[in-house]
Amino acid sequence: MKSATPLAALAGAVLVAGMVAGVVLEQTHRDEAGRERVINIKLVDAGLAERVRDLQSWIDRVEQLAADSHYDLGAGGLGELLRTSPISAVGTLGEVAGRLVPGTGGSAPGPGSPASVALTTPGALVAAERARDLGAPGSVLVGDPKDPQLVVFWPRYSASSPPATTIERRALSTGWLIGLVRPESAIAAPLAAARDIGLAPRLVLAVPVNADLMPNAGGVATDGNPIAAGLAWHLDFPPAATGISRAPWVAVGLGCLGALAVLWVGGVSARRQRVIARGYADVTAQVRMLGDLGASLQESLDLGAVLPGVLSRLATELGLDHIGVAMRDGSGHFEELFALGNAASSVVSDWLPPGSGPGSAGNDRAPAGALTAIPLRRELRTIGRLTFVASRELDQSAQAALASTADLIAGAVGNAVLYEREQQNVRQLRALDALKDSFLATVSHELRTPLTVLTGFTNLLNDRWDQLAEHDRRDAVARMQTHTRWLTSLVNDILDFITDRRDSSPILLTQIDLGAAVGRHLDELSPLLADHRLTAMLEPGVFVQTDATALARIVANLLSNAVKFAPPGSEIAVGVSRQDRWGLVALSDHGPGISAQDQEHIFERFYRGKSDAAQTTRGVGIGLAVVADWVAQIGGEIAVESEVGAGTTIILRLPVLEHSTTQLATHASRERPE
Amino acid sequence: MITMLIADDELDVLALLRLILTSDADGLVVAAEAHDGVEAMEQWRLHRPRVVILDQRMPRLTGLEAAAEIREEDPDQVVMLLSAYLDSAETARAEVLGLPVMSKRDILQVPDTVRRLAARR
Repeated sequence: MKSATPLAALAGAVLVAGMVAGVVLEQTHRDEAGRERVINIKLVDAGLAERVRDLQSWIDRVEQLAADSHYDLGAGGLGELLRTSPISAVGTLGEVAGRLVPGTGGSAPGPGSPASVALTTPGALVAAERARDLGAPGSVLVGDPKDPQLVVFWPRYSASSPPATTIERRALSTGWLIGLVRPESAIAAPLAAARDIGLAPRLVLAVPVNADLMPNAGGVATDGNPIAAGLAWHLDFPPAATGISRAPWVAVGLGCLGALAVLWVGGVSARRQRVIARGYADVTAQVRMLGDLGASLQESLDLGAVLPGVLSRLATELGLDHIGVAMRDGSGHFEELFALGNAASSVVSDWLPPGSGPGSAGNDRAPAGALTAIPLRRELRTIGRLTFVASRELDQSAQAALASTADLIAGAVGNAVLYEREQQNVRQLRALDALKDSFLATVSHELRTPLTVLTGFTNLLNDRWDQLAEHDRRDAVARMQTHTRWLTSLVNDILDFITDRRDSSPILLTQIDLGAAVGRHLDELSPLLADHRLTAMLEPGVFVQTDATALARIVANLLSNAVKFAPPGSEIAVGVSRQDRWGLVALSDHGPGISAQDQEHIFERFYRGKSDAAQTTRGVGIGLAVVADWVAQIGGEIAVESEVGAGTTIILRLPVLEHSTTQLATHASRERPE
Repeated sequence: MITMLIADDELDVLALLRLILTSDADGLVVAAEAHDGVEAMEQWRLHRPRVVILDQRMPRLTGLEAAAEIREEDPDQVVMLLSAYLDSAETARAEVLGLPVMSKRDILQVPDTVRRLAARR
């Protein structure tokens, strides 16, 4: 932060330079009353940075030693290290069902042990989980603000080499090595010097003051509940309550009366500027955070990869005990996508942040300790929710940051969903393409055989008419006829299949005597049935409302299918009857039957059965699909009953016409062929 | 006289081939017919015809598989493939086995080919 005025800064710099050697003053200001001076010092001198680095290196060394000894905390080097480092005690922690639990190693359990300190510290679970997820040490500041301690968490994994991803880290986590650190012991000398001149230094923040001077310094933290991966501090140096009595202070104070006068004059505007500057800094920090989060969320469409980092950053910066994202499934339930920390209870309040739109329900404050939800919205729909537990009541800017992050996440989730949908479309198109290829291969194969037979016999008859016996010539023509019929039916099926019914002749539902119509179709199809025995049981007077063309095509298709599969000489039975409100056409054959698995698919386009019978019988897998399409168009139903080795019955149901039955009976019976 | 075994799972193609071969002027006799590869093997062992004509796509055992088995038992057996279509892998396999391949489009030329193949040995 910049100084209030250049002159004041100069004065302050002189002042402090005289008190504590090597400490650089960045800012001076007055309190609200304008009388008591509070000198806010950021310790960024080279000496301090070095000591901070020392502390960091201690922590690194503990981690290394612990890892080398497989976290056997009784191992020799560790105890020695603890005696000589600012780390006062170590222990282990585990996690059971989203709660931290004491581990078995380290200092004796009990009040003041690292484990018990960690377990009673707000934000410890988030810090620990964050460390685990990031695969790097994390810390949380605890205890009396006048005598702060850091609990440092070193994540432990069961893998021999460090896991590379958050998901792996979660899977392989075996808990934490924890240590208690008194940061003040690392900067004891400057603190003592400050006390000597009557200041009451207070360690309040873990703020990375200057990234160049403090490598490894971690995230920004807020007062009260900072969490930092690295270590850096911000010291407040208020004057001690009782005494500007010590000689150095008095000397310096007298020496700087002129400077104080300048400060007094500049005080009011300095205070105003300070307030503005502080607000500006808060906003700047949050804009930076939102920028970072936005960028992170756009890094990948795989939410599993980006959400952990985003949420842990948010939890860190806003001091949250829990944060989670849940998505709404098709039935409206929320399914957790990712969560950090322990939610402890179900959702108690649905908090909509200020400015989230008209008619927003709920409170405009996010109370501390309560599980609170922000809806994730996209195109006016709630697609999920962001839940959090704040360790203290959130101020307006924190609420705004959460709301903006929720928007960012909603956008990212929306994009991920769209992406997944696109991927699904691509997969479907690929499957369709493969199906089309296989269909074309089948069709060309199915065309090839009849064409071979037709051209072969035609050429043979043409070349050797006189050499061929009469019965050979007749046999040749009969075979050509069969293949011509098959080709015709194949082409008809394909035409039916590729023609959109809406563009061709419309379905015309008329009243039809089902038995009479089916009987007529069977007559027309009799050449197909030359090799089979047909039994027809056609109940008269079953009037249905249907399309005559559709019925003809359905019967022809089903019959040619039965003929294809049923062995020559076997019986094919066709029955027409009435059952409740349905007119039934049942067509049974003694073919090889259809397996239960194939039965599920036989009405699907391009589906060819897996059985030997289906594989060696002609067909392109569209005949029954066409039938199913016709049936749907005329409001009927179709079902298959079959057992492998026991033949197949296909049952077509068409809605009967109740009232005009009698009137039409006479008319239809005249039509029925005998 | 040249005896032959013909195998095709399409009954009408088999009938066409039989008629083409038997209506030919001289010396061609269809000794046996088969409807799949396994049946072709059985009929071959039973009749040991001079020439074997196999369709490629047949149930149970393909023409190429049957030809390979036959050649293993009798490297001198004359075998030819009569197929509507061979993909590149099948063509390569036929070449490795030294099998003459004819397209079904040229089915009327089968008698000439049979005589030529039989005369070579």
